[in-house]
Amino acid sequence: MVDAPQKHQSRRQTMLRLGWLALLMIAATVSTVTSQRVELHQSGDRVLAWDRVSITNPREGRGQSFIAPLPWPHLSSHESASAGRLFEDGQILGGANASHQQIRDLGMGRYSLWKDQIRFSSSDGTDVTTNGRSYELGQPAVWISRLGLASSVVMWILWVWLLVALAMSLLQLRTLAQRAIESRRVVALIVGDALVIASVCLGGLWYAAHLHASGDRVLFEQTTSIDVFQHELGHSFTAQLDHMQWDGQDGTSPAVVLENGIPLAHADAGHQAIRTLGAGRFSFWSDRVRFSTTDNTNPFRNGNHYAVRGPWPMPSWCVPTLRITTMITLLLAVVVVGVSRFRELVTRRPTWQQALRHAVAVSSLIVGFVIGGNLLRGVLPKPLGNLADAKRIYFTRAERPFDTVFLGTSRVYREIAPERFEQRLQAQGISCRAFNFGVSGMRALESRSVLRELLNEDKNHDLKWVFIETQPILWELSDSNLLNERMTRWHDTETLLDLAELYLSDPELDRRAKARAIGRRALAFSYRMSNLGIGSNAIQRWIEPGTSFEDRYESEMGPRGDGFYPLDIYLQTPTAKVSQPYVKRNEYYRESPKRFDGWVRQQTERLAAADTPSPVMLDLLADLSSMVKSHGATPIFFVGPALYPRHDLRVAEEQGVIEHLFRFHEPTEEPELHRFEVRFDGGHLNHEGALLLTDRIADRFIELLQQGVIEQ
Amino acid sequence: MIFTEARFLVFFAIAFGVHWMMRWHTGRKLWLLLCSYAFYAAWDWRFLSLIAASTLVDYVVGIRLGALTTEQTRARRVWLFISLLFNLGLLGVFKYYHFFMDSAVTILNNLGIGAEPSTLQIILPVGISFYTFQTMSYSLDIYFGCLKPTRNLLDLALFVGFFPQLVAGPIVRAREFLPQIRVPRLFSRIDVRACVVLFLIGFFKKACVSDNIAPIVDTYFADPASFDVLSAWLAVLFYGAQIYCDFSGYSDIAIASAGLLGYNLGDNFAFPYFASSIQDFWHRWHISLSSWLRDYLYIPLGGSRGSTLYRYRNLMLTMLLGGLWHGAAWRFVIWGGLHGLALIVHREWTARAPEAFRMHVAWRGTGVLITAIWVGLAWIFFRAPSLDAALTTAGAYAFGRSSGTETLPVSLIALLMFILLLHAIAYHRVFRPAWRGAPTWMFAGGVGIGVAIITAFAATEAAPFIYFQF
Repeated sequence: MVDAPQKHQSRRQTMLRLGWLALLMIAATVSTVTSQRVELHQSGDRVLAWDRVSITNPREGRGQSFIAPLPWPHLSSHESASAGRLFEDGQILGGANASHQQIRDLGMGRYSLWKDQIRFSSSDGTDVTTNGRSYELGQPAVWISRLGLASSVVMWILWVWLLVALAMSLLQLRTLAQRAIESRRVVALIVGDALVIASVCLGGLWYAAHLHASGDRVLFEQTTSIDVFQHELGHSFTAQLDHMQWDGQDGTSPAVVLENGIPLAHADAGHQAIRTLGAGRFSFWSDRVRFSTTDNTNPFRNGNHYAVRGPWPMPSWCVPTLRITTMITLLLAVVVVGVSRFRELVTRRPTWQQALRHAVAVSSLIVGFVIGGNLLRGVLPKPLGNLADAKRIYFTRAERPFDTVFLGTSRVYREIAPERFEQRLQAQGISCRAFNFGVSGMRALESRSVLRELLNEDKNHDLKWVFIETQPILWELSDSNLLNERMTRWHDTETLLDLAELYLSDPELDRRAKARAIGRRALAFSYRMSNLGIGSNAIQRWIEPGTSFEDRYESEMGPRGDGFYPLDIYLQTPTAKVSQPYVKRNEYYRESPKRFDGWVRQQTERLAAADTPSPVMLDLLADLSSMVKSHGATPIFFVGPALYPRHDLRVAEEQGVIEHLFRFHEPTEEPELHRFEVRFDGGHLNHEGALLLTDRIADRFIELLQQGVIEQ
Repeated sequence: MIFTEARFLVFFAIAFGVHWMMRWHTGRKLWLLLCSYAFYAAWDWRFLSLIAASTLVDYVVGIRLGALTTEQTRARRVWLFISLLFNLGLLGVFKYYHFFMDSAVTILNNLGIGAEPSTLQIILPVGISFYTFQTMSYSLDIYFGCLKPTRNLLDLALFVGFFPQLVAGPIVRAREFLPQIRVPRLFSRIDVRACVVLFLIGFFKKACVSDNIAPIVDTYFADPASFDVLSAWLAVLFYGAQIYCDFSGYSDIAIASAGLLGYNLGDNFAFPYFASSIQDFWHRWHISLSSWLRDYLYIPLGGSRGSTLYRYRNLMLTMLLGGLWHGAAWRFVIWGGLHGLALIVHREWTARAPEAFRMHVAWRGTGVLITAIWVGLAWIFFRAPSLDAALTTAGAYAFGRSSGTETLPVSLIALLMFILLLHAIAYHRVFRPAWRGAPTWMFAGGVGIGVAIITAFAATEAAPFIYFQF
């Protein structure tokens, strides 16, 4: 036994030693950071201070360039890029190591240190001999560079010292550990529980870091002043961002450029737009930022301060390190707690009756939830879901039944005008009543579910022709898509089972991918099955009888209520709730007709290089076709003029899986539909284009009717 | 993080699981403190520093007060003053800065002295009114000799930051909570059924009732002048239901969560709309706040001692400050004033009316009605977005004056009746014997059905708890 004063003394010594180790650790870390900073300073990457000397006797060169003797010839860049920088009125000019041609033609602060001369230009194209500004040449301060060796030596000494101290402490710890092991309580309670807490905390940190790194939730923001920037072209200026890549996924950057602390308005602008239009447009590209000022003034001279603000660039090792550390700590926690509890479990093993009672309770809870959920689903009215629901109700409530329906994605919703279609057929003496059943974002699997619903609703079998436009199967549900209204709406039991069958039969997916995909679908299914909000929805509708499908979706059903709403017209309505990507895509598209030409060219090339379509997709197309046929209607597939190659449909047609296919996505065959003027963006037509496409579909359809290929 | 969010359920499951998995008492406390700080950090981690600072200040003040003898009055007062200054200072800066500045600017401008409104923007930290009152109660209890200071900083930090009650109460007293922290909790002593039922009831009140009726109330208060008298009544009554279900729902979840972790927070609501008088109402509504105000404000002001006028002054001051505690706006002061006025009238009535008459069933029933109507009138000032809107609504509610033509759906009356029916069922504890005596499997099945009902009727657009802003 250790008496109390001795114990107190030992604890004090331990604390002192720990304090000393911590101090050493901090000193070693500080010296490492210092040494690294000195190294960066020497290389010119991140200069801490500058030695400066005035540039004297500049004389006029060709174009915008001026030439003066180089005060420090060792900075010449004729062999390698120079670390020397030019200062104009104390501000660094960003255009170092520019070509002499650029200095002459573009100027704007470009310069070059060449042998015994400096060739430079002023930041705003003025004459350096008369503009009254001071020009100085700077090099990384020599006195800091000299610290390099000293800081390295100190660093090594401190680390060695720390390692020795750690080793000695570990030897002492062994004695402590032995003492601790003797006391089982210490191990079981303190170490085990501390490990549990540590693993949960680390897990939380790991998750937070993962969210930050993925950009889902920014935890820390960083604002960095843009002190060194250079003119690029037109209104565009660029700056290098050290260790920061903010170009973002899907072309949307999470960062902004600040002008005097206020964010510039036009993020993610095209580089051409920054150059030609300026006015505060900016873009992050790799580790650089391109920006223009709000009033297109010269940022070198307008007196404004520029900075960039974005997510803190977390080092790439953070997330994996935290993951591994969490796993190790968790494993240790499980081992320690498990060992310490093993004895307890052995002595107080729960009886089988207890275990059974718990299992029954959990099962009862689940059964209660499922029964309750099913009862409620049966009793409560169907929720006000998405556009598909609204369209289904319009379809069923129509006074004159529809005999023609267009089913598909936004390529149908925004591009097929039923009224136009009817008129076109009417002109040929064919009567029909058409309805647009397009819903934005609908994928192939969804189409099948919606088609099944639609055919069920068509109780009198009025449908004669079903035009189907499908998108490829969306195997992997993205996070943003996982629980949205549209997705959860159609994940019923039947669809889930169908999906599971499809996934399992796909030879291209490995086992892990199949499990993951089915799991995510099951999540959407469980979300639907939990009836979340359907009661609330019913209450709202009961309270306010005006809140009906018709009222709620009137604005989205199109001016004629036939489900057609072209994007360009829809966007002009004040109640438009179109998603931001549409607007952005449209802006991006409008910026350059040339870009669209490029896309069309690419599309032509992609169409030439056909690949093998997924067998599952072919099965699905066959399924869609047979569903319509067994209903007594004729399925007609079509591909809109979106810039996606659809080999699956072509192959399906060639193999006889589907009988009728109208293709409009080949620029060479349908040049009219691939003109810049008839399009809203790369994937959609505008109103004019929509009418044109409807005409083209109607014409082909009439042709088939007249040839007798399709029955009237 | 809102109690009715899925992430809270995950968070609580982890907090609960790890808490009971651990055996080391200090480790458990440390874990709960970590959870509490993480819970708060989910809103804004920067304001954790305020909680930590408030804890530290009262820790030091508590120890100093404990070290001083009762004779050292001056020194004790100085230390108490430090605690009050710090905590009320926090409230003053973060909660009342804009209120006082704007009021001062208005007064100066009315006097013809030009004054510019403040451009300084101060964010109101969530739950500041609750945790500052808790820390103050700690120092005050030590000062009044009701509590011995704790030397364990962890205990005090957990008392202040305990996540179930951190952001919207109940306001727990140190003398009730600290003794619980000191003793290791035992899972076997927890009434799991009662906690689970309370959790579900709280969830239902908030997600299924309060959140569903919030849009009705919002619709009315967006433009009260355009609605007729019936709509004003409906909106006020619905707001009464909304705020009750919102706040008592939060309290229920908080009490149930704390209960599942082994801690008792005490009751905070006892069917206040069945109160037969305004005094009874305050014994049933936000009990932890009303008892706090009684013990630390009303009684130190003199309480019921002294002349009638003196007593009524104390009562009115307490209610006015209670109103101001709820929000930094004159509307809340008026709300407090209306309750103060009602309490004074009630006292006068109690003193004059014969007891037999007051205790008669018929009169008690009438009392319930009068109290509910008066409380409704006061709620108008609590909810209305501005004083003008409040006066317009009050005009329609109290005097039947409204030029508005729009009307809220009449079907709302049926909904209101249904909510009242649910409330009455809960009041009479109709299902209590059933879930108390049911076998485990049946209880679990019932919980499953309850969860199914809640998920179906939960509003998909959850609003934050109303009391978060206080």
